[in-house]
Formats: sequence, structure tokens, C-alpha cells
Amino acid sequence: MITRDMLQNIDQHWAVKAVGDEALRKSILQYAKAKLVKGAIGKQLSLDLEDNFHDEDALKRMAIAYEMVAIEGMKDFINHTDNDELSDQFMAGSHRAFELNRVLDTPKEDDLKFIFHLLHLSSLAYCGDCWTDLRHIYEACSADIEGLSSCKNETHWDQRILLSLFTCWVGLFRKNSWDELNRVSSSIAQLRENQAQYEQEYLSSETNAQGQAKAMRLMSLYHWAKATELLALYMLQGEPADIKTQLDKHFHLAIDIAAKGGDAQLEVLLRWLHASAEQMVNGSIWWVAQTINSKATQFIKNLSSRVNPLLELLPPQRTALKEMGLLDPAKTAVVVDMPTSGGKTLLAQFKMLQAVNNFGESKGWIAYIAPTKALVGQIVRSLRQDFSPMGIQVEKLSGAIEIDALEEDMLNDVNSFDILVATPEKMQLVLRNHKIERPLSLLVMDEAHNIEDENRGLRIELLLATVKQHYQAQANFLLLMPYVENAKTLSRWLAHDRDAGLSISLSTSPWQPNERIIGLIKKQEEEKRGDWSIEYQTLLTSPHTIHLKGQHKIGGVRPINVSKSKASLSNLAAGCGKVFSDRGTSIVIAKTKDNAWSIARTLSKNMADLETVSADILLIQNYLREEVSPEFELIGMLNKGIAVHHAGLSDEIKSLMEWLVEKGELKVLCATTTIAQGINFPVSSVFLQSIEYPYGNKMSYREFWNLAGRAGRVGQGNVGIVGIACDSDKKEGELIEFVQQSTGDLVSRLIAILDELEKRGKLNNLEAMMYAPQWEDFRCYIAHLLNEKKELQATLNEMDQMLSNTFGYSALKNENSKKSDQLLAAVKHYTESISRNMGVVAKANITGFSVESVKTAMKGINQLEYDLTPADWMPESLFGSAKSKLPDLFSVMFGIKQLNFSHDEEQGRNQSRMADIAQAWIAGKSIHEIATDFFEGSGSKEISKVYNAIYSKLANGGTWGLSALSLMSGLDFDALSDSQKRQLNLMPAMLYHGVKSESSVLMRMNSVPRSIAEKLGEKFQQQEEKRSVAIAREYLKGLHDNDWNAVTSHSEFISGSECKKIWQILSGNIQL
Amino acid sequence: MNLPAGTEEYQETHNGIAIQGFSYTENNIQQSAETIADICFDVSGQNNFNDYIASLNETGFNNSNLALSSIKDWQVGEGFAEAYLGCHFSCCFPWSNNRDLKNPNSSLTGADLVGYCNGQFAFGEVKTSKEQKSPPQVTSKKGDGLNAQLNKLCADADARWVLVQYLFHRQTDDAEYQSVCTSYLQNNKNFYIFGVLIRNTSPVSNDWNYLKKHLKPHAQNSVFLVGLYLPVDDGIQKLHQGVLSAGGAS
Repeated sequence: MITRDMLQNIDQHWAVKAVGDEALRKSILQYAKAKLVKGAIGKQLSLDLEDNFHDEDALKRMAIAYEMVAIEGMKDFINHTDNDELSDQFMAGSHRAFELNRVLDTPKEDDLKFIFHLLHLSSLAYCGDCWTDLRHIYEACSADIEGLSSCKNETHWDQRILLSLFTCWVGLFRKNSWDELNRVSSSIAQLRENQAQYEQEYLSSETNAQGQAKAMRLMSLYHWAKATELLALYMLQGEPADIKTQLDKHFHLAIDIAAKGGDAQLEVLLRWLHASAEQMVNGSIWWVAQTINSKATQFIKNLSSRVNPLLELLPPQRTALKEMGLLDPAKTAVVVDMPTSGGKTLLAQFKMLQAVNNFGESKGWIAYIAPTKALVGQIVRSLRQDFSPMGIQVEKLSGAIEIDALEEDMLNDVNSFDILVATPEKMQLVLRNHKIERPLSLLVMDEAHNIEDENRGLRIELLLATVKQHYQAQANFLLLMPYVENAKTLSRWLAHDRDAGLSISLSTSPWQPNERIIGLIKKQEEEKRGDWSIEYQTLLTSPHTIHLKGQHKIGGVRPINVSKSKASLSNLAAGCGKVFSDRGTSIVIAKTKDNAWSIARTLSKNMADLETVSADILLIQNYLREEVSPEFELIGMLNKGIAVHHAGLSDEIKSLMEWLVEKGELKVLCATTTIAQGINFPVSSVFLQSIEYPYGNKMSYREFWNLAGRAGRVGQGNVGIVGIACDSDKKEGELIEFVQQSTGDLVSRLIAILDELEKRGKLNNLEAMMYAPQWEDFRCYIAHLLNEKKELQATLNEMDQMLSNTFGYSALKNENSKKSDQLLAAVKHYTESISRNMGVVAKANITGFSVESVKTAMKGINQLEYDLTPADWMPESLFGSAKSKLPDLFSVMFGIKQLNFSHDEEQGRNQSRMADIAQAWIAGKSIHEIATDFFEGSGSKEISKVYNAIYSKLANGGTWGLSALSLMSGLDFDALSDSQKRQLNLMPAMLYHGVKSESSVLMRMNSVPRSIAEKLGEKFQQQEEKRSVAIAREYLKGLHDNDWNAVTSHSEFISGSECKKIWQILSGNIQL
Repeated sequence: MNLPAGTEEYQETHNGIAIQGFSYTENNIQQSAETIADICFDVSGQNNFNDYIASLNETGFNNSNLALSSIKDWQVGEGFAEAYLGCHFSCCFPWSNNRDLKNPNSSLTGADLVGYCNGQFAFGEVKTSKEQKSPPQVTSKKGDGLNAQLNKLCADADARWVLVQYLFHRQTDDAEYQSVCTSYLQNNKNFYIFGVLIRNTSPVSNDWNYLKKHLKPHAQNSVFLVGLYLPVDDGIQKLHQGVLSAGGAS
């Protein structure tokens, strides 16, 4: 893969230097970028090229110079000689030559010129690792291409062949569909058939010399045709195995004959196509099949036969797999640092297939950890689509921090899953309590940079430490993250020995899914009083995004119809979102949920209704009417292509909004920063109201770049635009500095916390400081270690060794042994103190609570004026009776800081109110009803509050707390009947999903909308004796439309088929 | 390489284009035959025509129609022009284009001569005409007439770039190529154009009248039109025979 060094090296090449001095060359590159931006977003952003250096002739010379650089290394590249330097020179030269050539005019007046131009440009893109940019170019030329492809009346046989081969190569380069590539074989076969009809006439010539030259031309074209056929076959089926030898043979002959035939242009083109074919084979997914196993081959077959086939690896994927040894079985800990949308998921999939293959016989399982519930759902959908046809089972665990009866069944069943996807919190509970007896073969952690997250970082690090502690003998690690400079340190930490770690660092490579500009959006006063417009000023950034000179107007005057004084930061961001929505979905990032709603409202006032509201939007609107409220504000917004996405909505709604974006149905999505967490959907532009979070904390550089990386992803507009609203000189200075900062090393939270304490002069008081909330996860970990060892002295003896499993402590030992000693001493002291009550330690371990939380909980339970009986814990009593003990239990839970009920709004800490909401939720009340009953209205604000109460409080702290309290309440579990035990174990899941029976929980676990989960659950219960997540899934798959209609007959908003479609979307049961 | 200069018949400059005419006697032809034959019968440039035809078996295409005569065709005019420009215009052609065949309808670009001249690229087109009329039609013919070809070389940077690449794959002296290419990259007007007309008529500068009117040079003093006049009536035939027998001898 091309590196920045390679690009710098070629700037010292004689051909490049010949063009002019460095300043001139810089100006030329800058000019080319400006042209690119103008071509891409000239309608939305005023950009006068005359302001820039403007020398088309110099641009052409520079393009030639870089191509010259490339040509020098072409042979070495194609023949894989030992001269890597020349091979690198070839790729880097091609890369730069493409960057310049792509902004030169396309000759459309002459068909032949057009054909040669496009194939040449495509070759440069291919060889320069920029093939993802080709899609835009092909889109821009699609009419011309179609015109040529349909031109069947060409009489000259040679031109007929050329045209046909052109069409084949367009298919090979753009890979739009499987059919397009499959047609290559039939096109070549057609040429063979036509040969007899057209060839003789073409060959008849006045002179022998002419006839011979024509014969040479045909022979060259025939060899090219054969090479084309072979290449297409290989891309589709991975055959023949000796593809390179065969391609070399036919291309060499084609080139040689073209040369001898005096056909300079054909010769030059064929040389480029030969190199492109080489590169295409290098990047083919079939290559991977050779290196892994039969499972991978089957997987690749599935990928390649989709309607939108995946046939080729992105350059970072190719580099990771082929050059950097991602699948090297000797590497037990692999850390992949890759730019956002570099295609990390596919790498993880290959690694998982390898693990399934290697550990299949021993029933090994794979843990896939994703940071959010939404992402867990998304990953499961995508893995199921890819892996289910191969018999690899993928299951997820709910976001509730407790393991319910159904999950317990699943975890105990050796045949129920191969891959288990969960959030870090949930997976921690599973792993610490050894819930799965089968060997853990691989742990994949997505968005692993969250290790430095202030709130969850330590938890994630300690989860990895737990795996290191207990599972290292067999488990491998794969950590995926963007923009992490010290990937190597991480891989060394996780690997069991120095050589077993592998870091693949590609974030800083020049490859990007597309070009981007990052800039400030500022208010500009207009001549007419009260008028304003938006000025855009691009910024120089650490990842070398495009920088344009000067300020550029976005849209026209008053992009949002408010006076100048009301053109706030949010209106600036909204205005940009509106203007750029013409190019595809814009995301406007608001500081808070309320801001997101208000931006969406502003946009609704300023944007017209969609010309036609699509069936997809109508579907989602009906779902919202049924599930939320017929008056829900979002429904009307969708008529304009505007949507919202934030934590004040259910995971289902967020998933559906993402689905609409994927389908290209949305113009603007108003979101909060939570959207940055690895959501894989395409947007063309991102505008931020601010880079600060609600409580004044600034976004980290890594978070910002992860978000900015979403703008204009692979296959999207060729220039992604990112804007940050700015209203003061001070802020401007800060932002300029912010985007220039490098993302830097990933630092353990443990070290960050210690550094903070040191700054505050509190390090000497570490033993006492350890009781602060930020140490809670750490204390849990210590309790877990003690619980595992069972005995204090043994724990103390091994503490240093056990702590070394954490990233922070192991780094600290190397960097600052004084500090690590202090930490060790404090930890030992804490261990001693908790060891006095091992019962509490055991409870902490089983519940995931800290020892302190357990104590608080037990104290709370003891203070109740009555003893809790088994009956009190039964769902029907807890959630359905007037004598429910739920209010009291909430009262106990509110006292446990770990459950995070503390920052509640308004009356959220009123225990009976929270209990009432829980009861209404489980009783099946709609969101509209809950909002009206408990939050005095059914507007967006109230609905957000309902979702906040349910998803942030009940589904998290509520389920975790109730589950934990039931384990601490002194219940004699042995005295319970099996049915009671099951009911008790299901109680938190009911609260989590908002349903009241086991079968409806199963429906919800399989993504059935809540409004029909009970009814469908009843049907399921009647028809199926056995109950498990997988059985329920199969049951749902087998349902007919009339089954769905039967459960939606009561609804005035949604039909059975619509419900089915929603289920298909949310569960991933839609065919790709 | 040695070649008689012949007798200068005319010399003028028009619109920055240097126009010259030289006549050749039969004696001059004899003196030149061997040098030209060396170019035309370069063994390293032999086509493996039959091998190529056989190779088609692996492509699935039929090769029966293509089994034409494998006698080497060659253009003596181009060999003569190449030798003449090499000896008297400081040109150097690292790869004799004469080795390659010519396909009148084949491609967008091409030039009969591609090489160097005084540290710059030199591109040339050669026409041999037995026509009596002046100017001969080969200078004005649409499509592949000298005028169209030379104007294209002067104006079409893309076409020249193909030739520059073409030469790269054939050149044998990296330093020389680099130096010439550097000059071209500094300014893409840094190149020479040669139009050569080989006739067997009496030398008249009128032969260039069409080009004088229609050729748009890319730069001053960088375009050369050279008329080479062989003995009237059978001069071309004699050159052909001379070269053939010299080639046969070698």
C-alpha cells in the first residue's frame, strides 16, 4: 500500500523536478484539488478557480511527469522483481498521476479517444490504489459509456472488438454487479462467433503490408480478449489458480504484437491494463481463499455472488491480509489501526472464519464486542447475512447487564452459537463468571479505541485483562480501531509473547475512502440589513485533507430563513445540512438531544416536502405511528426527508433511521455525537454545531476524526465535506489548532486517572482515592481476582502478575515503576480490606457490582420493613400488582451509584414513579401513553424523556439492579420450583424488552416490534413446545403474511406485511 | 552512419517553419543503400509473425484467415528519411520505427519517426509520393495526409505523450532519455517536428504550398519540412532496388 514516504520519495524524481520548483509543484497539486472540489460541490460551494494558481498546461505536464515516474517502475511491479523501490515508485507515481489526470477534461467528441482515455485513467486509479474513486468518474460518464456499449453497428471488425473489450473492462473496473462481470465471458464468446463473419472483410487490403498490420492488430486484440475473459472469470470464481501466469502470457503477446504492429497507443494502453490486471488479482478476495480454508472459500463464494458483489479488497484490507499477515496463525494478538470506513469488518470476518475453522472441532466460540447496543444489532445482522448460509451461527446478548434464563440456555447449549456478539459490559459478565464452558478461540473488539473513554475505558481494558488472565491459553485477540498510533504497544500487551503480537497500522497512510475537506462554517453579514450567508473556510489538518485558499460561500443568502441575529451555530450547521443535502444525506451533529430536535424543526420549516414520499418512508412512518405515537413529530419530518438520531430514541428507531440513510431516502439526519460510534452508513457531508459535549468536555481528536471519516465514504460523493460552526475568533483559533493535532497514542484510563491524581497532589493518598467512582470498575476487577483465587495470600502473592494483564499497569511498570509500586501497594491494601467478607466478594463477582455497591444494596434490603419473599420477585407481582415491591426496590437501587440513576431529570428519582413507568412499559402501554401519563404531554421532548427513562434507566440500571438485588435478597433458590426460577430469571428481560411473557421476550430478542410481540408470542407459545432464541427465529422466518396480518388486525396504523418488513429490516432477514 | 547530403535545391523559412529541399543522384542512392538497408533489415526487429499466429490457438479465436504471407514488408521511404535526418539534422532514433508495421486505420496516434534532436524529442512523419502534381496529395489528404499528421503532432499533447511512453519502452540510454524528457517536462513545446517528403520529381518548393498555408507550428524554428528528391521517374524504384539488394547482401 502506498505510504506518505513513497509519495515524498517520488517528488525527488527527475521527471517531477523537471516540471518546476517545489512551490510551483505544490501550487499545481493544490490547483488540481481545487478543481476536484469545484467539480464535486461547485453547486453548493462558491469556488473561483481564478483565485488559485491557474495553469492547465502545467497541470498536464505534472500529470505526465508522475506517469513517467510510474512507467519507470512498471516492469518491476508486474514482474515482482526484487526491486521493491521501483515497484513502490510505480504505485506512488500512478497514484499522483491519477490525482491529476482525473481533473483533466474527458475527451468526449471522439469515441476512440474517449475509450483510450477512460481505460487509461482507470488503470492509473487501479495501480495507484484509488479504484474506489473510479465509481464517481464512471457515474459522470455513464451516459457516454452506455451510448458506446449500445453502439452495435460498428462495421470495422477491429473497432467492434475494441468496443466490446471496452465494455468488458468498464465492468471489470467498476464491478457494479455480478451480472456485469458474468457478461464478460459471453461478450468474448460472441466475439469468437462474429470472427468468421467480419474478419475476412476487414483483412482485405490494398497491400500485403497493410493486411499484415491489420492481422497484427487483430492478433493483439484477440490476446487481450482472452486475458480479459480469464480475469473476469478469476474475479468471479477464483479460477484458474495460475491466473497470473496466464495473464502474463496473453498480455505479453498482446503487447508484443501491438508493438510490432506499430500500434503505439494500443501498446501503451495494454501495458497499463496488464498492470491493472495484476493489481486486480492482487486485491481479489479469492486470493484470501487460497490462504485460509474451505469456510473462507464458501464465504467468498457467497460474497462474490451477491447482487452487489464483493469481489475486491480495499487497499487497506489487501495490505492487512497480504502484506502484513493478519491471518498468520502464529500471531495471537492482532491490533488493526485503520481509517474509518477502511473495511475493518471484512478483516474481522476472515479472522473469525479462521478461528471457526481451527477451533470448530473443540467447539470453540468467538466473542465479538461492539461498543453500543445499536452496533451489536447491526453487527449481528450483517454477520448473520454473511455467515448463516454457511451454517455458522451468530447470536447476540441483550444490552441488559444480567443474564436471563433464555440467554443462560443459549450459553449452556454447545450447539447454539459460534459467534456471540455483545457490549463490553455484558461480555464481561459472561467471561468473569465463566458462563460458557467451551473454549474461547477469538475475541474481536470493535472500536477498541474506547479503551481511553473516560466512562467506559477502564471497563473495556479490564475486560481484555480478564481474557488475558483466564483465556489466554487458547484465545486470540483482534482489536479494531481507527487512528491509533501505538497499535504496536497494544498488540504486545495482549500477546502472550513478544513475537506473537502484530500491529497493522494503516490510519496514517495516504489511502482514504475519498477526498475530504474540513473547515469552519461562519456567519457572514450581507449587504441588505438583516441578511446573512454562510462562509466556509477550509483548514489545514493532520490527515492532509484538501485545503482551499480563501473563504467560500455555501448556498445563497439566508439559507435558513431567520434574521442575522438569530443565525446561531445550530442554524449555521442546519443551513449547511440543507444546502448539501442535494448531494446525498447530510448529517448535522447537535450538541444535545434537544438541539437535534430543534435543528430538525428549523430544517422542516426551511425545506420543501419530498416530491414523492417513498414506500420505505411510509413504512417507517406507520411503524412510528404504531410504536410511538400517531402525533410523533418525526413522522411529519420524514415527509421532508429529515430525521433525528440520538439516545432519546429507541434502538429500533435509530436502526430504521440508519436503514433509510442506506436506502438514500433521507436528506438530512440530525444527530448527536453518539452516532460516531462505528455506525456504518453512508453520508456525503457532516456538519457540527460544536466539538464540545453538553458538559463542556471537548471531543477527543480520535472521536472527531472517526466522525469526520463518515463524510463521503467509499461509493459516496467523491469529496466529503465536514464543517464545524464557529462564531468567534477565539473559537476559530481553537478549532484551527484542534484539527491540526495528531490523534496520538492510546492511553490507558488507569494511567490517565493516576496522572490526574498526581496533578492534584493526591497520589500519596491512593488507598483512599481508590474509593472514588472512577475506580469502581477497577475495584470490581480486584474483587473478581480475589474471588477467583479465593484466598487472600495467594491473591496478594500474584497481584503484581495479575495486574500486569492490564494495559495500564504493564505500561506503568515500564515507564514509571514508582507509580506502579504505589498502585500495587494500594491495590493490596484494598484487597486485604475486602477479603474480610468473601461472601460479599462472591456476590460482587456474580452481579458485576463492586463490593461497595453490594454492601449498599444489602444494607438497603435489610432496611426494608419486611422480608422479600419469592412471590415478591415474580414478574406478575413485581410488574402487575398493586402490592408490588418495585417502588421499594427502586428506592434501594437509587442508592447504588454504580447503577447510574443519579443524573436523572426532574422526578426521575421518585421511586414509585419509576416503578409505575416500569409497570406501564411491561403492561404494553405505548410510548404515547407513557408520555402522556408520566411526562404530561406527548411531544418530542416528552417522548425523548420516556425513551430516556426506559433505555437509559430501566433497561440499564433497572434490569441490572433488579437482577442483582434478587441474587442478594436472601432468597433460597433451592426452595424455588423450576417454574419460579425461570420466571425470576426472566423478570429483568421482561423489563428490558417491555413485554410480560417468556415467549414475547423471545419475539423481542428476535427484533419483533413491541406492539405485536405479545400477540405473536402467544401464537408462538401455542405452536412450539420448545423455546429458544433460535427456535423463535426459525418460527418467525416460517410465518406467512396472514400470520402477520392476524397479529396486526387491531392496529389502525400498520399492516401485517409492514410489520413483517420492519422485522426483516431489524433482524437482518433481508436478502442482499 | 554515413549518408550523402545531396544537393540543396531550396531553403526558406515560412511562419517559423524551416523548409528545405535536397536532390539525390543515382550515385547518391548507391552510396546510401547499405545504411538504409541496415535500418530496414534490422534483424532484432524481425516479426515472429507465424509464432504469433500459432499463439492464437490459446485464445479460442480462429487463426485461419490470418495466415497471410509472412514476407517482411518494409517502407524504404521511412528508412531513408530516418537515415537522412540522423546524418544531417542531428537527429537520433533509438528505435527504428521501421521495424514495426503500419496500420493505416489502427490507432489514434502514431508517428513514423520518434527520437531525439538537439536534446529534445523529435517526431516525424514521412510521405513517399510518385505523383507528378505539386503539391502532392499526400501533403493535403484528410485524415492521414502530412498536414493532418503534423498538425496533430504539434497540437495534441496526449498523442505526443503516447509517443514519449512508446520511446521509453525502447530507448537504450537512460541518461539521454532523461535529459530529453526533462526538457519536455519543463516546457511541453520543447520538441521538434519533421515532415519529410520523398519524391521522384523535380525539386520545387511549391511542394510545400499546402502545408505553408495550413500547418500551425507549435513553436518558432522547431518545425522542419524536408523534401528529398530522387531522380525523376524511377528514383523511388531505384532506391527500393538498391536497398533490397544491399539488405539481401547483408
